[in-house]
Amino acid sequence: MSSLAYLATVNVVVWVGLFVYLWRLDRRISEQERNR
Amino acid sequence: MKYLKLLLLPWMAAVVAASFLWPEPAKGFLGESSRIVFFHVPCAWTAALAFLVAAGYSVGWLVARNPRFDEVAETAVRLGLLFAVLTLLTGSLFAKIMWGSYWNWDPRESSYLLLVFLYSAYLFLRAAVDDRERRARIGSAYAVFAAVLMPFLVFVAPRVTASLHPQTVINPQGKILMDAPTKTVFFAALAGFTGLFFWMLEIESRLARLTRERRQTG
Amino acid sequence: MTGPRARLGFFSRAWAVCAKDAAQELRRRVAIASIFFFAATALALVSYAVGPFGLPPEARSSLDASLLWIILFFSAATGLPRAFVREEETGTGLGLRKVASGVVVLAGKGLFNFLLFLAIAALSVPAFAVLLEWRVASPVALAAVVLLGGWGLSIVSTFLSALVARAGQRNVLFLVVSFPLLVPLLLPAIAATIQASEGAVAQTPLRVLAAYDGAATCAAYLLAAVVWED
Repeated sequence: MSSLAYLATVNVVVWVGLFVYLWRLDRRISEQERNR
Repeated sequence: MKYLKLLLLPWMAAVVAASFLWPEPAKGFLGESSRIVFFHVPCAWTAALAFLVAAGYSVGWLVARNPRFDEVAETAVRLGLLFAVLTLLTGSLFAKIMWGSYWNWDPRESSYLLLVFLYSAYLFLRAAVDDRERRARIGSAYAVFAAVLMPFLVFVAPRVTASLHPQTVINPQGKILMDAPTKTVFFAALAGFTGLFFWMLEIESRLARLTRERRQTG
Repeated sequence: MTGPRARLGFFSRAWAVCAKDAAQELRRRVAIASIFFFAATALALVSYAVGPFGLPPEARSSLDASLLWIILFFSAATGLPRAFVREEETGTGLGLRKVASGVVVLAGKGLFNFLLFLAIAALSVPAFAVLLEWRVASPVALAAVVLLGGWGLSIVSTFLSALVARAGQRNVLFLVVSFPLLVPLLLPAIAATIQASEGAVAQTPLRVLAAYDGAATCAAYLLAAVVWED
Protein backbone atom coordinates (compact mmCIF):
# COMPACT_ATOMS: atom_id res chain seq x y z
CA MET A 1 0.00 0.00 0.00
CA SER A 2 1.35 3.39 -0.83
CA SER A 3 2.04 5.65 2.14
CA LEU A 4 -0.73 8.02 1.10
CA ALA A 5 -3.30 5.25 0.95
CA TYR A 6 -2.05 4.06 4.32
CA LEU A 7 -2.47 7.50 5.85
CA ALA A 8 -5.92 7.80 4.30
CA THR A 9 -6.98 4.49 5.83
CA VAL A 10 -5.63 5.48 9.25
CA ASN A 11 -7.57 8.71 9.04
CA VAL A 12 -10.82 7.00 8.12
CA VAL A 13 -10.51 4.53 11.00
CA VAL A 14 -9.56 7.22 13.51
CA TRP A 15 -12.20 9.76 12.57
CA VAL A 16 -15.11 7.36 12.16
CA GLY A 17 -14.13 5.57 15.36
CA LEU A 18 -13.81 8.83 17.26
CA PHE A 19 -17.14 10.10 16.03
CA VAL A 20 -18.97 6.90 16.87
CA TYR A 21 -17.41 6.84 20.34
CA LEU A 22 -18.31 10.45 21.07
CA TRP A 23 -21.83 10.09 19.75
CA ARG A 24 -22.54 7.05 21.88
CA LEU A 25 -21.05 8.70 24.95
CA ASP A 26 -23.21 11.75 24.35
CA ARG A 27 -26.33 9.60 24.11
CA ARG A 28 -25.48 7.68 27.29
CA ILE A 29 -24.88 10.86 29.25
CA SER A 30 -28.11 12.42 28.04
CA GLU A 31 -29.92 9.33 29.25
CA GLN A 32 -28.27 9.53 32.68
CA GLU A 33 -29.18 13.19 32.91
CA ARG A 34 -32.81 12.39 32.16
CA ASN A 35 -32.87 9.75 34.88
CA ARG A 36 -31.25 11.76 37.65
CA MET B 1 -26.73 21.81 18.95
CA LYS B 2 -27.41 18.17 18.19
CA TYR B 3 -27.34 18.91 14.47
CA LEU B 4 -24.03 20.69 14.70
CA LYS B 5 -22.60 17.57 16.30
CA LEU B 6 -24.01 15.36 13.58
CA LEU B 7 -22.52 17.69 11.03
CA LEU B 8 -19.06 17.19 12.47
CA LEU B 9 -18.43 13.77 10.95
CA PRO B 10 -19.24 14.64 7.34
CA TRP B 11 -17.37 17.92 7.81
CA MET B 12 -14.21 16.25 9.04
CA ALA B 13 -14.57 13.49 6.45
CA ALA B 14 -14.64 16.14 3.75
CA VAL B 15 -11.69 17.91 5.32
CA VAL B 16 -9.62 14.74 5.53
CA ALA B 17 -10.45 13.73 1.97
CA ALA B 18 -9.78 17.21 0.69
CA SER B 19 -6.51 17.48 2.57
CA PHE B 20 -5.18 14.51 0.63
CA LEU B 21 -6.74 15.24 -2.73
CA TRP B 22 -7.24 18.93 -3.29
CA PRO B 23 -4.33 21.27 -2.52
CA GLU B 24 -0.91 20.75 -4.02
CA PRO B 25 1.93 19.99 -1.62
CA ALA B 26 3.61 23.25 -0.68
CA LYS B 27 6.98 24.30 -2.03
CA GLY B 28 9.95 23.90 0.24
CA PHE B 29 8.51 20.81 1.91
CA LEU B 30 9.54 17.21 1.31
CA GLY B 31 6.98 15.25 -0.69
CA GLU B 32 3.49 15.27 0.75
CA SER B 33 4.63 16.30 4.21
CA SER B 34 3.14 19.80 3.98
CA ARG B 35 -0.29 18.19 4.30
CA ILE B 36 0.43 17.76 7.96
CA VAL B 37 -0.38 21.44 8.41
CA PHE B 38 -4.05 20.49 8.25
CA PHE B 39 -3.70 18.34 11.35
CA HIS B 40 -0.70 19.56 13.27
CA VAL B 41 -1.58 23.25 13.34
CA PRO B 42 -5.26 22.78 14.29
CA CYS B 43 -4.11 20.48 17.11
CA ALA B 44 -1.74 23.18 18.31
CA TRP B 45 -4.42 25.83 18.02
CA THR B 46 -6.91 23.66 19.92
CA ALA B 47 -4.40 23.02 22.69
CA ALA B 48 -3.89 26.77 23.10
CA LEU B 49 -7.64 27.43 22.85
CA ALA B 50 -8.21 24.86 25.59
CA PHE B 51 -5.90 26.80 27.83
CA LEU B 52 -7.69 30.08 27.15
CA VAL B 53 -11.02 28.41 27.87
CA ALA B 54 -9.63 26.99 31.11
CA ALA B 55 -8.27 30.38 32.13
CA GLY B 56 -11.58 32.06 31.27
CA TYR B 57 -13.60 29.60 33.31
CA SER B 58 -11.07 29.91 36.15
CA VAL B 59 -11.64 33.66 36.22
CA GLY B 60 -15.36 32.92 36.14
CA TRP B 61 -15.01 30.66 39.14
CA LEU B 62 -12.96 33.22 41.05
CA VAL B 63 -15.70 35.78 40.47
CA ALA B 64 -18.84 33.66 40.81
CA ARG B 65 -17.61 30.65 42.83
CA ASN B 66 -19.86 28.36 40.80
CA PRO B 67 -18.45 24.79 41.01
CA ARG B 68 -19.61 24.14 37.47
CA PHE B 69 -17.07 26.67 36.17
CA ASP B 70 -14.25 24.90 37.92
CA GLU B 71 -15.34 21.58 36.45
CA VAL B 72 -15.28 22.98 32.93
CA ALA B 73 -11.89 24.56 33.56
CA GLU B 74 -10.36 21.28 34.68
CA THR B 75 -11.93 19.42 31.75
CA ALA B 76 -10.54 22.00 29.36
CA VAL B 77 -7.05 21.49 30.77
CA ARG B 78 -7.30 17.73 30.37
CA LEU B 79 -8.37 18.14 26.76
CA GLY B 80 -5.64 20.72 26.24
CA LEU B 81 -3.13 18.16 27.45
CA LEU B 82 -4.45 15.64 24.95
CA PHE B 83 -4.23 18.04 22.04
CA ALA B 84 -0.81 19.29 23.09
CA VAL B 85 0.49 15.72 23.10
CA LEU B 86 -1.06 15.16 19.68
CA THR B 87 0.62 18.34 18.48
CA LEU B 88 3.98 17.04 19.65
CA LEU B 89 3.42 13.65 18.02
CA THR B 90 2.34 15.05 14.64
CA GLY B 91 5.09 17.64 14.84
CA SER B 92 7.80 15.09 15.50
CA LEU B 93 6.56 12.93 12.61
CA PHE B 94 6.96 15.98 10.42
CA ALA B 95 10.37 16.70 11.90
CA LYS B 96 11.51 13.17 11.14
CA ILE B 97 10.49 13.56 7.49
CA MET B 98 11.88 17.05 7.01
CA TRP B 99 15.04 17.03 9.09
CA GLY B 100 15.65 13.39 9.89
CA SER B 101 15.21 13.49 13.65
CA TYR B 102 12.13 13.35 15.85
CA TRP B 103 13.14 16.13 18.20
CA ASN B 104 15.38 19.15 17.75
CA TRP B 105 14.85 21.40 20.75
CA ASP B 106 13.47 23.99 18.42
CA PRO B 107 11.96 26.77 20.59
CA ARG B 108 8.52 26.40 19.05
CA GLU B 109 8.28 22.68 19.61
CA SER B 110 9.82 23.03 23.06
CA SER B 111 7.15 25.56 23.96
CA TYR B 112 4.51 22.90 23.35
CA LEU B 113 6.46 20.40 25.42
CA LEU B 114 6.38 23.03 28.13
CA LEU B 115 2.61 23.36 27.71
CA VAL B 116 2.38 19.62 28.38
CA PHE B 117 4.36 20.22 31.57
CA LEU B 118 2.14 23.15 32.47
CA TYR B 119 -1.13 21.25 32.03
CA SER B 120 0.29 18.32 33.95
CA ALA B 121 1.44 20.63 36.74
CA TYR B 122 -2.10 22.02 37.02
CA LEU B 123 -3.52 18.51 37.33
CA PHE B 124 -0.85 17.44 39.85
CA LEU B 125 -1.48 20.55 41.93
CA ARG B 126 -5.20 19.84 42.04
CA ALA B 127 -4.65 16.18 42.82
CA ALA B 128 -2.69 17.13 45.95
CA VAL B 129 -5.61 19.00 47.50
CA ASP B 130 -8.48 17.10 49.09
CA ASP B 131 -11.03 19.76 49.85
CA ARG B 132 -13.11 20.53 46.75
CA GLU B 133 -13.45 24.24 47.33
CA ARG B 134 -9.78 24.72 48.09
CA ARG B 135 -8.84 22.63 45.08
CA ALA B 136 -10.92 24.91 42.86
CA ARG B 137 -9.38 27.98 44.44
CA ILE B 138 -5.79 26.80 44.07
CA GLY B 139 -6.40 25.45 40.56
CA SER B 140 -8.02 28.68 39.42
CA ALA B 141 -5.28 30.84 40.89
CA TYR B 142 -2.62 28.76 39.16
CA ALA B 143 -4.49 28.74 35.83
CA VAL B 144 -4.92 32.51 35.81
CA PHE B 145 -1.33 33.15 36.88
CA ALA B 146 -0.07 30.80 34.19
CA ALA B 147 -2.34 32.44 31.61
CA VAL B 148 -0.70 35.80 32.31
CA LEU B 149 2.77 34.32 31.79
CA MET B 150 1.83 32.12 28.84
CA PRO B 151 2.27 34.78 26.13
CA PHE B 152 5.92 34.94 27.12
CA LEU B 153 6.20 31.24 26.65
CA VAL B 154 4.45 30.94 23.33
CA PHE B 155 5.26 34.18 21.59
CA VAL B 156 8.33 35.78 23.04
CA ALA B 157 10.74 32.95 23.84
CA PRO B 158 10.63 31.42 20.34
CA ARG B 159 11.39 34.80 18.87
CA VAL B 160 14.27 35.62 21.17
CA THR B 161 16.04 32.52 19.91
CA ALA B 162 16.24 31.29 16.31
CA SER B 163 13.87 28.64 15.03
CA LEU B 164 13.72 25.80 12.48
CA HIS B 165 9.96 26.01 12.29
CA PRO B 166 8.34 26.90 9.00
CA GLN B 167 6.87 30.37 8.80
CA THR B 168 3.86 30.46 11.05
CA VAL B 169 0.34 31.58 10.21
CA ILE B 170 0.82 34.53 12.54
CA ASN B 171 3.89 36.01 10.92
CA PRO B 172 5.64 39.38 10.85
CA GLN B 173 4.16 40.40 7.49
CA GLY B 174 0.68 39.83 8.85
CA LYS B 175 -0.44 38.11 5.68
CA ILE B 176 -1.36 34.50 5.15
CA LEU B 177 1.11 32.84 2.82
CA MET B 178 -1.09 30.06 1.50
CA ASP B 179 -2.78 29.50 -1.85
CA ALA B 180 -6.57 29.33 -2.09
CA PRO B 181 -7.15 25.55 -1.90
CA THR B 182 -4.74 25.23 1.00
CA LYS B 183 -6.29 28.16 2.79
CA THR B 184 -9.79 26.73 2.43
CA VAL B 185 -8.91 23.27 3.69
CA PHE B 186 -6.81 24.73 6.47
CA PHE B 187 -9.52 26.94 7.88
CA ALA B 188 -12.07 24.18 7.44
CA ALA B 189 -9.82 21.87 9.43
CA LEU B 190 -9.39 24.57 12.07
CA ALA B 191 -13.16 24.95 12.37
CA GLY B 192 -13.61 21.18 12.54
CA PHE B 193 -11.07 20.75 15.31
CA THR B 194 -12.56 23.64 17.25
CA GLY B 195 -16.02 22.07 16.97
CA LEU B 196 -14.59 18.75 18.06
CA PHE B 197 -12.94 20.36 21.05
CA PHE B 198 -16.11 22.06 22.24
CA TRP B 199 -18.11 18.87 21.83
CA MET B 200 -15.56 16.90 23.83
CA LEU B 201 -15.50 19.67 26.44
CA GLU B 202 -19.24 19.56 26.76
CA ILE B 203 -19.39 15.76 27.08
CA GLU B 204 -16.55 15.51 29.58
CA SER B 205 -17.84 18.30 31.78
CA ARG B 206 -21.37 16.91 31.81
CA LEU B 207 -19.89 13.60 32.85
CA ALA B 208 -17.92 15.35 35.60
CA ARG B 209 -21.06 17.02 36.88
CA LEU B 210 -22.98 13.72 36.90
CA THR B 211 -20.17 12.09 38.86
CA ARG B 212 -20.08 14.96 41.32
CA GLU B 213 -23.84 14.88 41.84
CA ARG B 214 -23.83 11.14 42.25
CA ARG B 215 -21.09 11.38 44.83
CA GLN B 216 -23.01 14.02 46.73
CA THR B 217 -26.29 12.13 46.89
CA GLY B 218 -25.16 8.49 46.67
CA MET C 1 -8.94 49.01 55.34
CA THR C 2 -9.47 52.64 56.29
CA GLY C 3 -8.48 54.85 59.17
CA PRO C 4 -5.25 55.01 61.15
CA ARG C 5 -4.28 51.42 60.36
CA ALA C 6 -4.29 52.17 56.64
CA ARG C 7 -2.01 55.07 57.20
CA LEU C 8 0.58 52.68 58.50
CA GLY C 9 1.24 52.27 54.82
CA PHE C 10 1.44 49.29 52.57
CA PHE C 11 5.22 49.32 52.29
CA SER C 12 5.92 49.53 55.99
CA ARG C 13 3.56 46.61 56.63
CA ALA C 14 5.17 44.57 53.88
CA TRP C 15 8.57 45.47 55.26
CA ALA C 16 7.43 44.29 58.69
CA VAL C 17 6.55 40.88 57.23
CA CYS C 18 9.92 40.77 55.52
CA ALA C 19 11.79 41.71 58.68
CA LYS C 20 9.88 39.13 60.70
CA ASP C 21 10.81 36.41 58.21
CA ALA C 22 14.43 37.50 58.25
CA ALA C 23 14.51 37.52 62.04
CA GLN C 24 12.96 34.06 62.20
CA GLU C 25 15.38 32.59 59.71
CA LEU C 26 18.43 34.18 61.26
CA ARG C 27 17.47 33.05 64.74
CA ARG C 28 17.70 29.42 63.77
CA ARG C 29 20.46 29.67 61.26
CA VAL C 30 20.32 26.04 60.20
CA ALA C 31 17.72 26.55 57.49
CA ILE C 32 19.44 29.49 55.85
CA ALA C 33 22.80 27.81 56.10
CA SER C 34 21.45 24.70 54.43
CA ILE C 35 20.16 26.76 51.50
CA PHE C 36 23.61 28.23 50.94
CA PHE C 37 25.11 24.81 51.36
CA PHE C 38 22.74 23.48 48.72
CA ALA C 39 23.99 26.12 46.30
CA ALA C 40 27.55 25.19 47.18
CA THR C 41 26.77 21.51 46.58
CA ALA C 42 25.21 22.19 43.20
CA LEU C 43 28.18 24.30 42.28
CA ALA C 44 30.60 21.61 43.43
CA LEU C 45 28.73 18.99 41.45
CA VAL C 46 28.96 21.05 38.29
CA SER C 47 32.63 21.81 38.85
CA TYR C 48 33.52 18.19 39.54
CA ALA C 49 31.63 17.02 36.48
CA VAL C 50 32.90 19.65 34.12
CA GLY C 51 36.42 20.16 35.49
CA PRO C 52 38.30 17.09 34.31
CA PHE C 53 36.51 16.93 30.96
CA GLY C 54 36.36 20.61 30.15
CA LEU C 55 33.85 22.41 27.99
CA PRO C 56 34.31 22.82 24.22
CA PRO C 57 35.65 26.35 23.71
CA GLU C 58 33.05 27.40 21.12
CA ALA C 59 30.17 26.47 23.39
CA ARG C 60 31.77 27.68 26.59
CA SER C 61 29.93 30.95 27.03
CA SER C 62 26.46 29.50 26.42
CA LEU C 63 27.16 26.41 28.55
CA ASP C 64 28.57 28.50 31.38
CA ALA C 65 25.54 30.81 31.36
CA SER C 66 23.12 27.89 31.26
CA LEU C 67 24.86 26.05 34.09
CA LEU C 68 24.88 29.16 36.23
CA TRP C 69 21.15 29.70 35.90
CA ILE C 70 20.43 26.02 36.49
CA ILE C 71 22.32 26.26 39.76
CA LEU C 72 20.51 29.47 40.69
CA PHE C 73 17.12 28.00 39.76
CA PHE C 74 17.55 24.87 41.85
CA SER C 75 18.94 26.81 44.79
CA ALA C 76 15.95 29.13 44.63
CA ALA C 77 13.54 26.21 44.23
CA THR C 78 14.98 24.69 47.38
CA GLY C 79 15.28 27.82 49.47
CA LEU C 80 12.48 30.18 48.53
CA PRO C 81 9.41 28.01 49.22
CA ARG C 82 10.47 27.90 52.86
CA ALA C 83 8.72 31.22 53.30
CA PHE C 84 5.35 29.51 53.50
CA VAL C 85 6.35 26.03 54.54
CA ARG C 86 7.78 27.49 57.71
CA GLU C 87 4.43 29.09 58.54
CA GLU C 88 2.78 25.72 58.17
CA GLU C 89 5.40 24.02 60.30
CA THR C 90 5.31 26.49 63.14
CA GLY C 91 1.57 26.97 62.95
CA THR C 92 1.84 30.72 62.65
CA GLY C 93 -0.10 30.84 59.38
CA LEU C 94 -3.43 31.45 61.05
CA GLY C 95 -2.07 34.28 63.15
CA LEU C 96 -0.48 35.96 60.20
CA ARG C 97 -3.70 35.69 58.25
CA LYS C 98 -5.53 37.65 60.91
CA VAL C 99 -3.21 40.63 60.88
CA ALA C 100 -2.11 40.94 57.30
CA SER C 101 -3.86 40.83 53.94
CA GLY C 102 -2.70 38.56 51.15
CA VAL C 103 -1.05 41.36 49.25
CA VAL C 104 0.98 42.52 52.23
CA VAL C 105 2.16 38.99 52.95
CA LEU C 106 3.04 38.44 49.30
CA ALA C 107 4.99 41.70 49.15
CA GLY C 108 6.79 41.04 52.41
CA LYS C 109 7.74 37.45 51.68
CA GLY C 110 8.50 38.29 48.07
CA LEU C 111 10.89 40.96 49.22
CA PHE C 112 12.51 38.59 51.70
CA ASN C 113 12.90 35.94 49.01
CA PHE C 114 14.37 38.49 46.63
CA LEU C 115 16.97 39.49 49.20
CA LEU C 116 17.67 35.84 49.92
CA PHE C 117 18.12 35.17 46.22
CA LEU C 118 20.49 38.10 45.87
CA ALA C 119 22.50 36.76 48.79
CA ILE C 120 22.69 33.33 47.16
CA ALA C 121 23.67 34.91 43.84
CA ALA C 122 26.25 37.17 45.50
CA LEU C 123 28.06 34.08 46.73
CA SER C 124 27.36 31.64 43.90
CA VAL C 125 28.21 33.82 40.92
CA PRO C 126 31.76 34.78 41.96
CA ALA C 127 32.40 31.22 43.16
CA PHE C 128 31.14 29.93 39.82
CA ALA C 129 33.36 32.35 37.93
CA VAL C 130 36.39 31.20 39.89
CA LEU C 131 35.74 27.46 39.83
CA LEU C 132 34.87 27.22 36.16
CA GLU C 133 37.21 29.98 35.02
CA TRP C 134 34.32 31.94 33.64
CA ARG C 135 35.31 35.40 32.53
CA VAL C 136 32.68 38.12 32.52
CA ALA C 137 33.52 41.16 30.43
CA SER C 138 30.70 43.31 31.80
CA PRO C 139 29.88 42.71 35.47
CA VAL C 140 27.40 45.59 35.33
CA ALA C 141 25.38 43.86 32.63
CA LEU C 142 25.54 40.67 34.64
CA ALA C 143 24.27 42.48 37.72
CA ALA C 144 21.35 43.80 35.67
CA VAL C 145 20.41 40.27 34.59
CA VAL C 146 20.69 38.91 38.11
CA LEU C 147 18.54 41.72 39.48
CA LEU C 148 15.83 41.48 36.84
CA GLY C 149 15.90 37.71 36.66
CA GLY C 150 16.06 37.46 40.42
CA TRP C 151 13.00 39.61 40.96
CA GLY C 152 10.90 37.52 38.55
CA LEU C 153 12.21 34.32 40.09
CA SER C 154 11.39 35.55 43.58
CA ILE C 155 7.91 36.84 42.92
CA VAL C 156 6.86 33.74 40.98
CA SER C 157 8.40 31.42 43.57
CA THR C 158 6.77 33.27 46.44
CA PHE C 159 3.36 33.20 44.81
CA LEU C 160 3.60 29.53 43.85
CA SER C 161 4.93 28.48 47.23
CA ALA C 162 1.86 30.06 48.81
CA LEU C 163 -0.27 27.93 46.49
CA VAL C 164 1.68 24.78 47.18
CA ALA C 165 2.04 25.27 50.92
CA ARG C 166 -1.47 24.05 51.61
CA ALA C 167 -1.03 20.88 49.59
CA GLY C 168 0.99 17.80 50.41
CA GLN C 169 4.25 16.64 48.77
CA ARG C 170 5.46 20.19 48.86
CA ASN C 171 8.99 20.08 47.55
CA VAL C 172 8.33 17.93 44.52
CA LEU C 173 5.12 19.76 43.77
CA PHE C 174 6.83 23.15 43.88
CA LEU C 175 9.40 22.10 41.33
CA VAL C 176 6.74 20.64 39.03
CA VAL C 177 4.53 23.68 39.33
CA SER C 178 7.22 26.35 39.01
CA PHE C 179 9.30 24.91 36.17
CA PRO C 180 6.92 25.64 33.24
CA LEU C 181 6.34 29.19 34.42
CA LEU C 182 10.01 29.94 35.01
CA VAL C 183 11.38 28.75 31.67
CA PRO C 184 10.21 31.96 29.93
CA LEU C 185 12.31 33.77 32.52
CA LEU C 186 15.35 31.50 32.41
CA LEU C 187 15.78 31.58 28.63
CA PRO C 188 16.11 35.37 28.30
CA ALA C 189 18.19 35.41 31.49
CA ILE C 190 20.64 32.94 30.00
CA ALA C 191 20.71 34.85 26.71
CA ALA C 192 21.42 38.11 28.53
CA THR C 193 24.07 36.42 30.67
CA ILE C 194 25.88 35.16 27.59
CA GLN C 195 25.92 38.68 26.24
CA ALA C 196 27.11 40.05 29.56
CA SER C 197 30.01 37.62 29.64
CA GLU C 198 30.97 38.90 26.21
CA GLY C 199 30.69 42.49 27.35
CA ALA C 200 27.39 43.58 25.86
CA VAL C 201 24.18 44.73 27.48
CA ALA C 202 21.52 42.62 25.78
CA GLN C 203 18.62 44.93 25.02
CA THR C 204 15.98 42.45 23.90
CA PRO C 205 16.33 39.78 26.59
CA LEU C 206 16.50 42.39 29.33
CA ARG C 207 13.35 44.03 28.03
CA VAL C 208 11.64 40.66 27.94
CA LEU C 209 12.73 40.06 31.53
CA ALA C 210 11.40 43.44 32.59
CA ALA C 211 8.07 42.73 30.88
CA TYR C 212 7.91 39.30 32.49
CA ASP C 213 8.65 40.79 35.90
CA GLY C 214 5.92 43.37 35.41
CA ALA C 215 3.36 40.81 34.30
CA ALA C 216 4.22 38.38 37.08
CA THR C 217 4.11 41.08 39.75
CA CYS C 218 0.73 42.37 38.58
CA ALA C 219 -0.75 38.88 38.37
CA ALA C 220 0.59 37.95 41.79
CA TYR C 221 -0.77 41.19 43.25
CA LEU C 222 -4.23 40.56 41.82
CA LEU C 223 -4.36 36.93 42.90
CA ALA C 224 -2.71 37.32 46.30
CA ALA C 225 -5.97 37.77 48.16
CA VAL C 226 -7.41 34.60 46.61
CA VAL C 227 -4.47 32.46 47.58
CA TRP C 228 -4.33 33.75 51.10
CA GLU C 229 -7.98 32.98 51.89
CA ASP C 230 -9.23 30.49 54.47
